[in-house]
Amino acid sequence: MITTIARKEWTAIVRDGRFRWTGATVLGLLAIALVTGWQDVAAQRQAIDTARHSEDSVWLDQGEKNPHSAAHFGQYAFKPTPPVAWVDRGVNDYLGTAVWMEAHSQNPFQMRPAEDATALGRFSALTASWTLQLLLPLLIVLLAFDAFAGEREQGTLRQLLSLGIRPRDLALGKALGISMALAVVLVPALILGVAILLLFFSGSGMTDTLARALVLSGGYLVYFAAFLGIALAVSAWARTARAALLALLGFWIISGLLVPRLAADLAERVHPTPSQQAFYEGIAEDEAAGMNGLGTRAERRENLEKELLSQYGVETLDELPGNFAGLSLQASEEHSNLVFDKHFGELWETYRKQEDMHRLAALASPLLAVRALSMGVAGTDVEQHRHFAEAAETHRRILVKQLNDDMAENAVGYIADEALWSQAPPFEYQSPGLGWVLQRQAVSLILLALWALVATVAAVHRAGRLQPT
Amino acid sequence: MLEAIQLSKSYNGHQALDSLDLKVEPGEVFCLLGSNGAGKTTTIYLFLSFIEPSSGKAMVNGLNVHEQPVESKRFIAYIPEQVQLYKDLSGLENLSYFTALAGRGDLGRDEMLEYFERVGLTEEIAGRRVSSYSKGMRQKVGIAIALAKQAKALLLDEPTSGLDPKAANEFSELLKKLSDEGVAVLMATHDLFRAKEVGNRVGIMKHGQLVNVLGTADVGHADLERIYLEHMHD
Repeated sequence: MITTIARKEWTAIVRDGRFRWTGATVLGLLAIALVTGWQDVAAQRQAIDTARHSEDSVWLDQGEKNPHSAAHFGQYAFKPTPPVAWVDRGVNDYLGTAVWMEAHSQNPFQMRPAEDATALGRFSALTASWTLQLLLPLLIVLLAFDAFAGEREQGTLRQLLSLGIRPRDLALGKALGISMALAVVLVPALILGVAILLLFFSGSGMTDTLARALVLSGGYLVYFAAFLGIALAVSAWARTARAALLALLGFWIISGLLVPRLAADLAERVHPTPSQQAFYEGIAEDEAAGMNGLGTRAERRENLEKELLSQYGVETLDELPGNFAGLSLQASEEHSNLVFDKHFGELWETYRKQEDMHRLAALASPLLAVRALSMGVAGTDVEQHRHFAEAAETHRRILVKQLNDDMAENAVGYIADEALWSQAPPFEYQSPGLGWVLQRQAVSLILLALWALVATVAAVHRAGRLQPT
Repeated sequence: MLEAIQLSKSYNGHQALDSLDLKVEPGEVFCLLGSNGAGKTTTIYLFLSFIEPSSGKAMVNGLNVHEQPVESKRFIAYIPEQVQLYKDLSGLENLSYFTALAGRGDLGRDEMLEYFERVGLTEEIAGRRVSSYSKGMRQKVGIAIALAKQAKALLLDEPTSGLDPKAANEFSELLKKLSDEGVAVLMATHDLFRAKEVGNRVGIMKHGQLVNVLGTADVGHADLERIYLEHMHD
C-alpha cells in the first residue's frame, strides 16, 4: 500500500510542471555550486601546496644570519584544505588558512578569501552547503505543502479515507513519493560529488574522505527527513493548502534565516569577541606588566641575570658559558607564551561559548544543527581551525626555542647557516580524524536526529487525525 | 449489512443525529430524504468513521466502525455528491490507484477496462486525464471503483445532484444492477423521484431524527412527495 501511494505521488509530482522547473533549478544550482566549489578548493589546495614547497626553499635559502634573526624571518604554516571542504567552506573564508610563525608573536591568520571578496560577494556566495541547507528545504516545502491539505481541498481525501487506508501508511507513502522526486535532484548531485572526489581528490586519506562524504550525505538526508516530516505534519494540520504553504514558508524563513541570524547576534552579545585592537592591546599590557607576578620586562631581565650568575657562580654576564642574549630571548619567549596562552585561551573559550549557544539554538532551527555537522565533517569549523592554530603555535614555539637555544650555546657574534636551518623540524600537521569530529558534533547529531524523529512522529500523528473536510 | 443502533451525533450542543436506528440488508436500496441539515450526511460520515459518534453504534457487516475503522471500510464504497479524482492522472490510473488502496492491486488493465465498460465509459475515455471529465463521468468512475472494490455496501451522498437527466438515469440503472447483485445501498438524496425509482425503502429525516420510513412499493410518486412535504412543514 505504501509503495502504491508513493508511486502515485511520484507520478503526480513528475507530471506537475512546477516540479520540473523548481527541481531543475535546484539541481542546476547544486551542480554549479559543486563544480565551482571544487574549482575553488582545488585552486586553494594547489596554491597552498605551491606556497608550502616555496616556503621550504625560502627558509633554507635565507642565507647566513644570527639564529634569532632567523626566528624573526619565520615560517608560514598553511592550514590544509580538506577535500570535503568543497561542499562546505565553513568559516575558512573568514578565519584564514595561513599563519606566519615568528619569534615573540602569535600572529593572526592570513589568506582570508572573504577579505578579497567584493562587498556584494557577501550576499551571493553560492555553495553546495547553502543550496542543501536552504534551497532543498524550500523545494521540500513546495512539494509537500499540499500533500494532505491539497487533497482535502480537492475532495480526494474523502475518497482516500473511505477506502480504509491506515493513516500511517498514507503519510509514509506520501513521504516516500516526495523522497523519490527529491532523489531526482539529489542523486545526480551525489554522483557528481562522488565523481569529483574520486577523480580529483584521490590519494592518501581517501578512506577518511569517503567516510566524511558518507556521514555528510547521511546528515543532510536526516535534515531533509526532518523538513519533510514538518511539511507533512503541517499539511495534515492545515485546513487549506494555502494556509499550509504560508505556515511552512514562515517556518522556512524563521528557521533558515531569522534564527541563525538571531543566534549569531545573541552569541556575540552574550559572549562578545574582543576587537583585534583590544585583543592585542591586552597582550601588550600583560607583556609589559608581566604575568604571574614575574614583574616588568626590566625586572624579569634583572631576575634572570641574577639567577644565571648565581647558577654558574660568576660575576658578569660575559663570564657565562654561551650567549646570554640567547638565554634572555628564550626566557622572554616563554613569558610571552604565558601571555598568549592566557589571551588566546580566553579568545578560544569565547568562540567555544558562542558555538555552544549556536548548538543550543538548533533546538529552534534544524538548519543550525546540520550546519554545525556539515562544517565539522567538512573540516572547516572553528574547532578544527583552533586545532590547526594550536598545532602551528606549538611548532612556532619549538622552532623559536631551537633557534634561541642554538644562539645561547654559541658565542656572541655567532652566525648560523643552512646547516642549522635544515635542522628545523618540518611542520607536519595531521588534521583530526572523523571520530574526533563526530565526538565534538554529538550535540548537533542528537538535535538533528531529534528534529527528524519529532517531525516524523508529528507527521504520522497528524495524519492519524486527518479530517476529510 | 449496514446497521445504526441508537446512533447519535452532536456538535457543540447541536443534535445533528438523534438516536438513529436503521438496518439496510444486502440487496436493499435505502434512501434518506430530508432537507439540508437533517442529518443525512452525518449518518453517512458516521458509517465511514469520518466522525465519531456521540453515542450509539454504526455497524458494517457486523463490525463497529468506530472500533474497527480500517477493517469495516473494506466492505463499503463511498460516492459523494462530487466524486473527486486526481486530475493529473487518467481515469484508468485513478481506478488503478483507488482499487489498489482498497486491496485490489491484483486487477489487470483488461479487468479495469471491463469495469469502465460496465459503467458506460469507453477505453478511450479511460485513458484520458480526468481533468477533461464531466461530472457524470467522474461519478461513473466512482461507481467503477465501487464495482472493482467489490464492496458489499454503498454509501451515496447526493450522487446524482447536478447530473443531467440522462446521466442520472444511467446512474440509477447502475445502482439497480448493484442491488440485484446483493449490494446494500444507503443513499442520501433530495431527489424524491430518484429515491422512489431506485429505492426499496425511503426514510425521511428531520432535525437529526428518522421521522418516517416507507416502502417505495407502497407509495406512488405523488404520495411520497405529499408525505415528505407534510414532514417538512411540521
